[in-house]
Amino acid sequence: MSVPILEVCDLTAAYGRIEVLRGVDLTVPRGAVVALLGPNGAGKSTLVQCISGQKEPTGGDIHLAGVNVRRAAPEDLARVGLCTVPEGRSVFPNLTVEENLQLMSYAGVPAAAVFETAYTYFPRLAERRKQLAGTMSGGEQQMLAMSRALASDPALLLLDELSMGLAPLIVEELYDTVARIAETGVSILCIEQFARTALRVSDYAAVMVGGRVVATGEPDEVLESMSDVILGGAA
Amino acid sequence: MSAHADRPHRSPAGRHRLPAAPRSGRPGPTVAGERLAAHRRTTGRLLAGSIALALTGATLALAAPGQAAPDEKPKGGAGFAGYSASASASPVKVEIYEPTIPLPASPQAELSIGYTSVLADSSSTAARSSYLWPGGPVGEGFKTIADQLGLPPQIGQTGYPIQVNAIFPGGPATDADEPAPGAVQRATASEKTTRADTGFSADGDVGGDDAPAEGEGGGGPLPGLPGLPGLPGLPGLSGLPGLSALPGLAGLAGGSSGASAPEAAAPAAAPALPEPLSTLVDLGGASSTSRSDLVDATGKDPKKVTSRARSILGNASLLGGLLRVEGVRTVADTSSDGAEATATGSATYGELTAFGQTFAFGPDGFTATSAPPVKLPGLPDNGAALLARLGVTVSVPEPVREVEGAAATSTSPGLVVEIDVTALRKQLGPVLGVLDTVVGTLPDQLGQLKSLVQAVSLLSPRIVLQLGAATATVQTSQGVPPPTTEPPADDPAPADDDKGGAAAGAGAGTGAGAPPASSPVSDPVAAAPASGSPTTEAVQPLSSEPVPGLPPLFSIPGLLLYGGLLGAAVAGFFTRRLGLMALGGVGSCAHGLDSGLPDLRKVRP
Repeated sequence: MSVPILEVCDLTAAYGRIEVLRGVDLTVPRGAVVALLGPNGAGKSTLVQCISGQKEPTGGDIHLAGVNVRRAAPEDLARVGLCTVPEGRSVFPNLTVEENLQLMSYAGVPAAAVFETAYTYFPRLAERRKQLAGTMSGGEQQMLAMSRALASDPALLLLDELSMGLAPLIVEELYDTVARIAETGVSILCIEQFARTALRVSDYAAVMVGGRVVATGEPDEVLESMSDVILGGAA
Repeated sequence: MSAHADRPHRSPAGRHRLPAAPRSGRPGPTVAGERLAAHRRTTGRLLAGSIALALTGATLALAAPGQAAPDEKPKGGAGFAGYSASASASPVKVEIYEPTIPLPASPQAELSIGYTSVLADSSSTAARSSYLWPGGPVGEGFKTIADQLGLPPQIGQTGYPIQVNAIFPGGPATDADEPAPGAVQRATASEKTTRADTGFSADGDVGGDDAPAEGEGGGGPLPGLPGLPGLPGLPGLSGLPGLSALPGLAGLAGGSSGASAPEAAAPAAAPALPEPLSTLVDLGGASSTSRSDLVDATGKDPKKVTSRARSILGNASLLGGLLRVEGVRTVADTSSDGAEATATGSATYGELTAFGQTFAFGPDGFTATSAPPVKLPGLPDNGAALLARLGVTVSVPEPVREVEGAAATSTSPGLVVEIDVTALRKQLGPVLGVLDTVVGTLPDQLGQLKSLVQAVSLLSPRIVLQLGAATATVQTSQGVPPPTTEPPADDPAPADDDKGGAAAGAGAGTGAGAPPASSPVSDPVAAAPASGSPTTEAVQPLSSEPVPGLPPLFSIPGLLLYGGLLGAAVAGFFTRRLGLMALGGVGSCAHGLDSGLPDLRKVRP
């Protein structure tokens, strides 16, 4: 068996004296889509911040391709192919779509390649290339945020709450794109409150409650074993 | 163009080219021809020698254009590269010593009436003139004090209000103000002349056409400031003996209002000091001038710096008229031309009247010149003894004239009147009563300030009045001589130009006309940029330290150097790993995996 691209071992993290992660164990195999599910406050976003280097864990280890990267800086992790689409999109609202994408060229990616990738996955962005990002719908802003992430040619993509505040149809469309991205060999960890849509495109799933991963397995197994209450009930 | 194109042609192996032998078969030169040829050669050699001599002379002359001929050098002046000068004067200065006042200063409070000061040096000049100057701690920190006293912020926003300042080169170059009719304060600052004037006349009389000469105060309004009157006349000086012998002072005396004196300055609108202060000190007229000048060399007079402080007190009434002083004039002058400095000054006093008894200043100090008009029962007849009984002493400090090389300090103190308030409290009863009345009228909103003033009225401080004070200082300094380029005797580096030795490196780039590397500069003043001569001597190498070359590779210093560089390169290459080591992140984790950052894109399926 090959070494997983991401392996989290007994990870703990806290905000001051409040312990949020209490020994998280999680594995993302190469080229797989893993859905990390759980209710609000379970520690999912904190786990993403620890993996991407934005928050220093208090214990445990994080391995990327079998190498311990626990104290690595976020920019270094981004350089080696770990990319995060943060919760809330974080696009620049006063810049146009094209300008938002053009910012990626400062990271060394040619602007033409950035545009090509974005417009290939999300043709709607091409129609709105001159529109201010802040005036677009939430779904289109999420497309823009994903386009920026894809421009860095990621090997491991962390998607934090992709469906937050979006209409179900848009969420379906976005997860279709996630599936297309996964077909290119990109490993994806989806953090999601609403399970059913995410599980549809996932290879594996894990359920996180109270700072711990309480269930892992195939999507169907996870879906059957967990109650709707824990999964949010709205998906 | 080849890099070798400018090199002089040399014959192979450096040997001189031999003259070609006459070809065989051709007739040789005749005797007449030989003589003619010899004559031409002699003439040519003489002509070439003359031209070479002329060119050498012209080159030497051009090489040192900044060196003046000995006859042209100003007599007695060695010149200077930098200077600093200061002057300050004040006709009246009140110092209050009260240790119970919680202020970290001594005296705890001070107030100068008619304060002027200038501060000048080679790079900047500043002048300050203040009709009422509360001393440095309060004047400079007025904003902070106003804030801490809880006063409205607009009061301390612009600093102490009764002052004008001029600064060069930052500006303003000139400032003037007339805070009250008859009270003038002016300040000007420029590269060469810095001056501060202030004057005050209690009867509102301001000098007009009879203004004294330049440098003696008074004078008309500043250029560009029409309507601002000159310094006030000093009426109390009219009775000063020998006044006419003092140049310029006569113009201040009498305060005669000329035809151009503004009619509005009538006695009815006369300014006056605030009531409590005027009870302690009341002035009939006062003025002071502080100035500093950078004087260029003219003819045989060398370039020099002068500073002058002068204070004139027309008349002053102390302690509600118990003590009267008339005609106190103090002058302090200093100058320096770079080689020597001078410090002069003078202090003249008029009459002193204590309780109606007149005193004159003589070799033995103040002596009574008249009998007391009224004999007070229970008190001494002599006015001086009477003053001592009341805790009032009058002294005349010694002037200070110090000259040390090119630096000079001149201080001309006036009269010093010390008042022990403990012994004088009974006499000051009305004054304290007035102060209590004034404090009582202050609004309660002032809070801390009101309680502070009330506390002051209960103190028994020692009050020192300095009537007339002038201080001037000047100092010039020579330029720092440029370092010589001569290599030290124990320098192992060869001085051969072809080998790029230390001396060659240091001497290179000075250009034509630069002094040879082995000749130290003998005249630092002439070589200093401040001398104003744009000679090539000013283009000196920044450092005379020989530039050491790299040590040989196979030597201990060389091995240490190159080994250190190699170690630094290796350390830099593994900086990230070393950083992780410092943070405890290196090595295997609890799961036995190495730390680092793998390229995830290379492990895609």
